[in-house]
Amino acid sequence: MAEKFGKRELEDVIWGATLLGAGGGGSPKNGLKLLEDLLKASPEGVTLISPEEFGSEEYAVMVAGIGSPKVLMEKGFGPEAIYAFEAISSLQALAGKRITHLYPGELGGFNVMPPFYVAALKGMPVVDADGCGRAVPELETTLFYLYGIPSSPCAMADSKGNIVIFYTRNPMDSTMAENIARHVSTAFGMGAAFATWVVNGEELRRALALNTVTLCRRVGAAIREAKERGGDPVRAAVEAVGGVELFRGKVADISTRTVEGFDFGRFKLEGVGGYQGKTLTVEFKNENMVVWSGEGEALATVPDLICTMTLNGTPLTNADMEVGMEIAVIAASASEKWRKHPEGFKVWKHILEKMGYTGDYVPVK
Amino acid sequence: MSLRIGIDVGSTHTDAVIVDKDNRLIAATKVVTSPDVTSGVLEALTKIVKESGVDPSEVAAAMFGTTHCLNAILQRKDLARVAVIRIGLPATAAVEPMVDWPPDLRRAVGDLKFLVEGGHEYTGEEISPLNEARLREICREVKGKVEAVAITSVFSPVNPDHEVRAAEIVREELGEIPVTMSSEISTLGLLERENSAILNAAVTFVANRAIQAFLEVMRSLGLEKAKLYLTQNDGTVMEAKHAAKYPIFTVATGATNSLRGAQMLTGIKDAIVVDVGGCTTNVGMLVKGFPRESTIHVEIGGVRTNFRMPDIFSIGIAGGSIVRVDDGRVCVGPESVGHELVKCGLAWGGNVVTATDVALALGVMSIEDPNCKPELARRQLDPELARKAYEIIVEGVEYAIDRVKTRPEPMPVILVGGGSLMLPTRLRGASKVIRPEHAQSANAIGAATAKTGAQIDKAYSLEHLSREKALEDAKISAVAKAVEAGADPNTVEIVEIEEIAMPYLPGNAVRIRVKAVGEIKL
Amino acid sequence: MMELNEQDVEDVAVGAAILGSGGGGDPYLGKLMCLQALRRGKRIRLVDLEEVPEDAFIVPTAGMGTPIVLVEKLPNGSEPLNALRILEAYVGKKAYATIPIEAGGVNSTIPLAVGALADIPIIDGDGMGRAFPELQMTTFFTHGVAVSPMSMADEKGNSLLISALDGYWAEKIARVVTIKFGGIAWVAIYTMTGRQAREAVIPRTVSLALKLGRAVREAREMGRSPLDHLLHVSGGFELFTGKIVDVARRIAGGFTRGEAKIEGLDSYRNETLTIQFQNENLVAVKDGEIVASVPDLIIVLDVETAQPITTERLRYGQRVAVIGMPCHEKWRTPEGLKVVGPRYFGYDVEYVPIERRVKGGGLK
Repeated sequence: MAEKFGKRELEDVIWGATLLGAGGGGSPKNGLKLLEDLLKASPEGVTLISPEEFGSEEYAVMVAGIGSPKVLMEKGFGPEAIYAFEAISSLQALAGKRITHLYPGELGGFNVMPPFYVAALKGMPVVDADGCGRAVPELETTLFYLYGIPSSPCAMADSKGNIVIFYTRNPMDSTMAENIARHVSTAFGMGAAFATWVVNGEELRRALALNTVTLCRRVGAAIREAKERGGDPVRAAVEAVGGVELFRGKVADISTRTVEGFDFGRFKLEGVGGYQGKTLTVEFKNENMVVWSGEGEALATVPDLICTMTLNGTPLTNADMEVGMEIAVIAASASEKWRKHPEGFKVWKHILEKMGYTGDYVPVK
Repeated sequence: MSLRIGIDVGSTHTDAVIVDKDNRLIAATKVVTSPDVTSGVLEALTKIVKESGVDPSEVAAAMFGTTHCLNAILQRKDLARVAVIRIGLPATAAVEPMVDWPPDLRRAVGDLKFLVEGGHEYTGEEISPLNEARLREICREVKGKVEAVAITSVFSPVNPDHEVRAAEIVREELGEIPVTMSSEISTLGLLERENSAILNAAVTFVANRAIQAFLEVMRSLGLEKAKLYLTQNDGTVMEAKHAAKYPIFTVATGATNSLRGAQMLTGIKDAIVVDVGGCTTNVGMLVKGFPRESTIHVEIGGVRTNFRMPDIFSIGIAGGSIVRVDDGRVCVGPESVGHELVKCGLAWGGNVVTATDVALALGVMSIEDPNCKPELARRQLDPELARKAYEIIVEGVEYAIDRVKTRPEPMPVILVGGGSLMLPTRLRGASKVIRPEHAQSANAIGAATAKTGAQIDKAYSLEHLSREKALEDAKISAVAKAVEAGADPNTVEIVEIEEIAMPYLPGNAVRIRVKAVGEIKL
Repeated sequence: MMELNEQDVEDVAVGAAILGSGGGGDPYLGKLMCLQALRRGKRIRLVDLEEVPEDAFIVPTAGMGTPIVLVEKLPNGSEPLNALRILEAYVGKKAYATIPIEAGGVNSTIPLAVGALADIPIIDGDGMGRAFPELQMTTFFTHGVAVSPMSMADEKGNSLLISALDGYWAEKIARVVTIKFGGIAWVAIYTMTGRQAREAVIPRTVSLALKLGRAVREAREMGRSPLDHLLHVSGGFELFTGKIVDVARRIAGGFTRGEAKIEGLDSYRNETLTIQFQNENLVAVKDGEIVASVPDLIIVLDVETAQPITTERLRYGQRVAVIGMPCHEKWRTPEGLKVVGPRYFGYDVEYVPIERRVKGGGLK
């Protein structure tokens, strides 16, 4: 069912996506700023259509930002997304694929928004789906990779209109794609947009996490409404995502370390309320990867979502977390697309192993 | 146990000398170079041992400067069939190994070439992982068809890991077969380094056979205690077993030995050396006692190579050069009677006018040979022709001296070689002309008195390495190589460090060349 | 249309080294790529500008990056094809032909191999008529041909298309990507139509290189003076013959600048010629007076063999002949001189065409 998403709906989407970003996915502040620009260009908002409505002969693309969040904050974001979209569109048009829809690459306070921005300016609908059902740290930990949606060709652009389109020899070589994209983004001054993963209706339904935008909206709305009526926003969020509450506590420590060239982080909570006297540790690489109980038991791992929000109802990314904050940790089941795929856990293992977790997948009930 | 024998093979003569521990000349002799080289060397060795009457057990070392390897390449004879393995795919496929080799030489080494995935970027990262399975497959394919293997990996002077690993695999699959790794032969420049490695592999055969022949005769002459060394291009010697691995380093030793000999005979460390032979005159420069090396590609047998070679300028004017009149113009060389001088030259009763005859006729030289009769030359030669021809000879040598110099200022010039007596004691561009005693044996003396050493030429990326560490690493490997080549570890010193920045290369790369030299360990 | 055989390729490489006017690098690698392509049954077809249709899509190709990487990490051979392919996909047109950017140096022979591998002809012409150190020093640029869209490819099969606002951004991006590609990238750049090419291309420079190389070879084969032969076919002027007595070099701003002093021999006895260079030979000064300057070609050759001597190989004692060749008319316009005239290289002098400087002209 097609539905118009205006200011309120999209704000809900942003906050819901921040929670489902599982620690990453970009700053909701940047997301809200982009929403402002979107509404200036298109006050009535954007049309969202369900995956079923998206035809098998139609094509959709994802658009996202790449570079440093700080640069995004300072320089703003917007035109680059349009340029990147136009570049991939004209390229695909020459190959006979007319792109008429957009969709988010992942869920996150910022990363969910660029496709809406482009859709608004181009008068196109967004499809209710995304490429991860969460936020992810690498191009290899995406459903695109798992289900064979090639990352090549990929279009990149800066805000001035410089465009780069690249092809990797193996169109599925997302490591190389990521590598090239990072290099190009430095030439673009650390702030750029990229557009890739063109899918038709059949591919979208086969590979992507479905109905996730409406899920974000539901989660965002539930939290907002709980706050409005003075209820417990954490409980509302847990219900909306259909997850479990793992912990409530005070952030006692946040630390980062480098293992084999990768930046890893870890935060530690000291329980409050019913969790008094207990501790909890979460390890993250951008997104939260594994959560340990004070007794050293792994309570949840990727691909399931390990989400955080403040007790007073603000979904939280690791970048915005500060020592002393009182937060809740919520675990939610990953999209079926992750759970049903035989390699759905395996693609994460190399990250978990560097964090010292060598065990199996611990599905959230 | 303090004597050393030096032997140097020239294009016309093979010279032999014996020196004592103070590098004093005990005996010298010379025989005509044989077409197969070996028999001439053996003859010279036998002759000097017998004639000198030295106690063979007193001989501690025998140093051979031979043209076996060079001749094998030039004549495409006795070359090993080589499995040429290049590691670098997917890079490098656009130009296969040996594309611009002369076809006969390519055939002579078997023309078996293979490209394998692997190699490195200039940063030392892998281009692709080494395809070991493919390597083993190649080994099975060439088993029994080749006698040597040459392995070249992209950027191996920066990171030799893939060459080292590939060599291990080759030995596992093919057993004891000579394996040349390009990073041990020369430096950056894939095709030239690969060519150098292939040539090295191709002459391992010839080198080994020559070494065996030398050892046998040494035994038969009672030189059991003497260690065998081969002289190499840079003016040092290496132990026979080391030379068997790096025979390509012996291809330009003739000129080098003369330069070193000139240094030894005069004590002068910086000078131009003019070595007048029978067919050619080689001119080179001594810098701090060692031959200056060429900085450009050197072609050998029609193949571009880039290993270190002495910078020698050769002219086709020498003792045996034929003098003739062409269209009224007097010409000297490049044709030569070579060692037939003592048969064909005017002064020996022959009918060919040679450069030596000219010098004899003008009275600028004399030769201690009862069969040589200068008056024969004088009588038959038109004085005007002789004067003109001599002018050409001197101008030719002066030209060569000028070409070898790097600055216009005059420098000392040392004349050596059998034909050097025909040159005047004043030459343009020379601050003084020195004609040392025993000049005609300078080449063999250079061999007999050589030190041993080695040099390495490696590229370093300073991205993850400090400059000091890189220099240290280069020095350590050079010293280790010198010891491997037979140097006494206590005497090894670094005689040269050259640091070449590689501009335009991100990551701050540098090429370091280090030469280490020591006394031979007896 | 004319087809080049192995001998022609050898000759073009010699001629291209001559047209390098002291710089541009060694045409050797491209030559070997051509030889290998020919031996595999590929064809090198040279097409005259006159034969090119108005709407033809023409894609110049080149290698770009660090010289030391170029001689070590040789190409796979598929790079230029990949670069062509993605450019075609972006523009939506098939390449009709490729063309060298420079007639001298390393990038003179590479497009011949590209044409052979891609099975498209090579236009007999280029954008410099010689070699220059920077990619914008082309008549393509001075005639308004845009740098982008340009494409780049590496040996691993990755490729990348740049559509930049201007040359500055194109170069900035290309530089970063070249590093990512391991220090060298294969580029397709300055795409143009047949119509544009007729304006922007310096015509018949590949066949000129062929002629020069052939002249040198044939003279050697016949035992004649290659130098005289070369002067005869090149329409060049003998400027000087002498011995190099001094060479001074310094590195400035990523370029090697320097000068070589030559003392006259034979009919030039008691005269001195100085050549100043920055990668390529820039000006020749005889006894205080300029006798030739960029963009005209100043070529230093071994007096015996007519082997061109690059600026990095100049050294004391060499016997050399210096010849000058007029550059193409396209460089002699105010726009052309702004990009490659003496002033651009830091000489505050007016450009005077070589044939006017060599009063009387012709052979000496």
